[in-house]
Amino acid sequence: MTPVEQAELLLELARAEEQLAQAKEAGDPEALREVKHSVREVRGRIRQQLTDAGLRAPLYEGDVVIAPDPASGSAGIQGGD
Amino acid sequence: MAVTVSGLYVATFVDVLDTTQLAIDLDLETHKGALFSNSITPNFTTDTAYGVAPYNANEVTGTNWASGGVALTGTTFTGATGTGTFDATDVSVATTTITNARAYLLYADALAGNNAICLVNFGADYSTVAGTFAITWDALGIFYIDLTP
Repeated sequence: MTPVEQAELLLELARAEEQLAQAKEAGDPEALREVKHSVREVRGRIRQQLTDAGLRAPLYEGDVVIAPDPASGSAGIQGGD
Repeated sequence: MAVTVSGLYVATFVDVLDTTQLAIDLDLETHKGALFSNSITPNFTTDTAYGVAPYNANEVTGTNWASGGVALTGTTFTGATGTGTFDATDVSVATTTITNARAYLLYADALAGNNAICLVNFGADYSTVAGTFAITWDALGIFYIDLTP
C-alpha cells in the first residue's frame, strides 16, 4: 500500500465515521444501519491492509499497539462456533 | 489465576434476551473499557459486571488511563451473512504510563449495574511509558456472533 493509497483510505474512514456520528445524532435507525455497514467495511479493509503490510508495530519507544487476533484462539472473540 | 481466553458474558446476554430485558445498546458511545492485569480469573458464565468480583481488584490504571477506563467510540453493531458483528473505532490514548495490562473489559457504563459485555485477552502483558496505548481491533471486528452456524 502506497502512502497515497493509505491516506485516501484513512480519509474515506474519516468521512464514514463522520457520517456515523451524524446518523447517531439524527436517530434514524434505517440511515444508521446503512452508515454502520459502510463504516464496518472501510474499517475492515484498513485493518486488513495494515495487517498484511505489517504496520501494526508501535511507532515510538514507550508506545504499545495491541492487535487482538481471533484466529489465535487466545485473543479476540468468535461466537457461534 | 490468569486470563486465558476472550469471551462474551453469558449472564449479561441472558438478561438481554429474557424477561429481564436488560437494555444493552451496542450502538451507544458510552460503553467503557477498563484494563486488568493477569491476576484475574474470568468466569464468562457467572461474572456479571465491572466493580463486581473479579473486576473489583487488579484493575490497571495509570497516567491518562483512570480507574473505570476509557469510553469506546464509533461503535457499530451490524448484521450480515448470518452474523452480528460488534466493532468500534480503534482505541488510541496518548501519553499514557500503564503497567502490565493483560485484558480489556468492555462494560455498559450507562447502566446502573455496569454490566460486563466482553473481555478481550491481549495474550501478553503490555506496558507504556509516556506513550500511546493503542488497540487495533481485528478486521472482523471486536466480536461477532454466528447466528447461522
